[in-house]
Amino acid sequence: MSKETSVPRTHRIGQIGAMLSLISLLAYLSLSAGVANHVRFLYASLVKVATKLGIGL
Amino acid sequence: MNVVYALVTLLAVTIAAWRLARSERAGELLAQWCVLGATLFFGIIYLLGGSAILFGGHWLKLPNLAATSVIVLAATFVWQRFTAPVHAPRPGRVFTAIADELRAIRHEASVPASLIVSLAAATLLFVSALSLFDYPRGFEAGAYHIPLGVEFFRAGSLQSFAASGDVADAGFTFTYPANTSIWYGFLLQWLPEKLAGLGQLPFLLILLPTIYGLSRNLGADRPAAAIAATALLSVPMIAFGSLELGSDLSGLAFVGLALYLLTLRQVLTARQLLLAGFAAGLAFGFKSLHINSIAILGVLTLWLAWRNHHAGSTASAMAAMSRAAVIFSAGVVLTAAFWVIRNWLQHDNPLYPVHLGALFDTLGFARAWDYNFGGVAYSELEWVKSTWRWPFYPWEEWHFIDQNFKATAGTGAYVAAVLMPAMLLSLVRLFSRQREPLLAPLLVGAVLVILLWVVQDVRQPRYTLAVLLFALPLSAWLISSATGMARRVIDIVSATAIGLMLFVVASKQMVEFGDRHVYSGQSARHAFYDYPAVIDKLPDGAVVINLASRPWNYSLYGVALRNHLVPSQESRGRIAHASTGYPDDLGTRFDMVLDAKELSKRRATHVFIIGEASLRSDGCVGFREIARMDRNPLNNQQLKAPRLVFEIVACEQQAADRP
Repeated sequence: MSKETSVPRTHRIGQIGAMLSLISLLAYLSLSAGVANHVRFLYASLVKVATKLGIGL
Repeated sequence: MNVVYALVTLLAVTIAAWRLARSERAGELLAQWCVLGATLFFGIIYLLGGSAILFGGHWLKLPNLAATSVIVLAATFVWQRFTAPVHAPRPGRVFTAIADELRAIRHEASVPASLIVSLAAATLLFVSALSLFDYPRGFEAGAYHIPLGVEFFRAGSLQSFAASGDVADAGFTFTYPANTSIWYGFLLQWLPEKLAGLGQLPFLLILLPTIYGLSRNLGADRPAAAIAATALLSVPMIAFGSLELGSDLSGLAFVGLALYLLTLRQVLTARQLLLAGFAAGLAFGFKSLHINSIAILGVLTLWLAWRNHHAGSTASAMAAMSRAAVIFSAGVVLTAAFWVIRNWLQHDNPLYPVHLGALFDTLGFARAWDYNFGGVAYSELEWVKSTWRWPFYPWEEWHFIDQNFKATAGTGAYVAAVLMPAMLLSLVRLFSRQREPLLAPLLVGAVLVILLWVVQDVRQPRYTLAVLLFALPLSAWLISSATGMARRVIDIVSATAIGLMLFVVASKQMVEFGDRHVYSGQSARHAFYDYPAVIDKLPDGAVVINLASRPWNYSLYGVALRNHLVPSQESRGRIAHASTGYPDDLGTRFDMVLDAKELSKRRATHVFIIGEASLRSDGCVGFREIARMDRNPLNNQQLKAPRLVFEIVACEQQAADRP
């Protein structure tokens, strides 16, 4: 696999970047009120559909 | 016939712009084509709409627009015939270059990167298709963007909208630079309303390759650049914003094009500078906030010009900077000056409604009748619990009363996971001698956007969206920097973050579609906007006074936009005197006295209001309730506040009606 780039492959920055981004993604998943609200929104919608179809959730 | 005029206009402008674009590189050619096309399109509209302001008449009509566009196209051919022979680039060559680039991305990308790019394309198609069932949406879209566009083409002029001839404007929001409104007004002239509701999508389609191109300019590899471009679509404010008729994406697209053109090559050519200036000026026309972006682009222009000459003498560097500044500024002035001059002529203040206190008083610049600088700082509490939490916003994404992701809230997982570390690490990288030439300008640009946002009063996260233009390429740089296992990790993190947000966007649109169109059957206009159906059946020439809140403005034009409107801002500011305040749809009972003379000036025939209102007038005018919507038509539950339509009747008629 060849990638045409002028960015030097700086191992240290790449490695730190990968680690930081993984930690940052985990932090986001734990803290994001947006995601939590969206999950609640989807669950409420699911309950609404289930009720309409006569399925108890 | 309007369809023909509109297509002739678009075709003529497209061909003229294509003939004027010139470059060996497909990306640059496309960017030039977009900027030149938009410059010609809006330039012709400024000419027609401005002539109507200066000389009277109704010049801004589609037939005039089509005729002028054809004249401009003919002039382009003639001009090129008598100047140096120019061979217009062949579209086939550009399409081949794009196809080659896409093939190369597919060949070079890892599995997660390929998957996420394909998934993003599928999501964009899916949510766009679902949105085709919706009427135009958006808070500011309904409040002023679309009403202003409708009124521009009705009046055949680009004057600020005012329902009465003896006032200059219906409210300060109708006086802002309004390229966005022009665009929506133009679309509504010839497209079905629902299709016009996708009016922001073209700008998203400009933004995606722009981010890709910026990332490549910085030196990122193709898969990393593709991930950065795809990540743009995963930002909720961008994704949901592209499905509403706001002005954020359109402004952003032209700032992006300006930045792309400025960063294309080491030596700034006059053409690059001029077109970057055009793009920056157009961005101001779409959203006046981009006066900040113009300042930042100006700083970058000087910096890049200086850097390319700093090996020579100070005098040559100064000369290069002066040349760059003059050409870039000339471009900005040519595309942005129209709005400044219009506001000076029409409102006695070039920056109306902005008023800089004693300085503007000295210069004799007028204050806006309804513009209030104070009391807006608190509005940030919609997005953060307190000011000091802003640095954590990308991770927290809090929104008041537990609201969801939307066009004004949410930066998404990629910004938190990859973009923020990329900004931090590019700062570290600046201390290295091997740093990439564009790393510092892009990082400084991103920081300047944030700093200017911090010092201004109104702090909404969407006002920082220009950061994405500078920082997404930095994230591509970070991804490109990684090799081996680190690259696999960062590819997977990026794909996960983007995939998560694409799921959020697609699932929200799907639920809303199911709710609106499958469950609630809101396919009719009145059902979609939730107003009494009588609004769609008012007699021709009906003039509706909107006493409800601003976002109701657009819906009250009714089906096929047959009604005339007195917008909420003007109605509440000049016609109504509420003794108990405006309840803003919360259901409080309130009394309101309407000025009979002001009603008469506007030839008002109907009043729309939300809330249990007692309406009176100070003259010989009465109000007869003709429609009341106090229950949800779907589940028959009581609404918090009834939606009422009154017919305005003269006293004699009112007396005759009494039993």
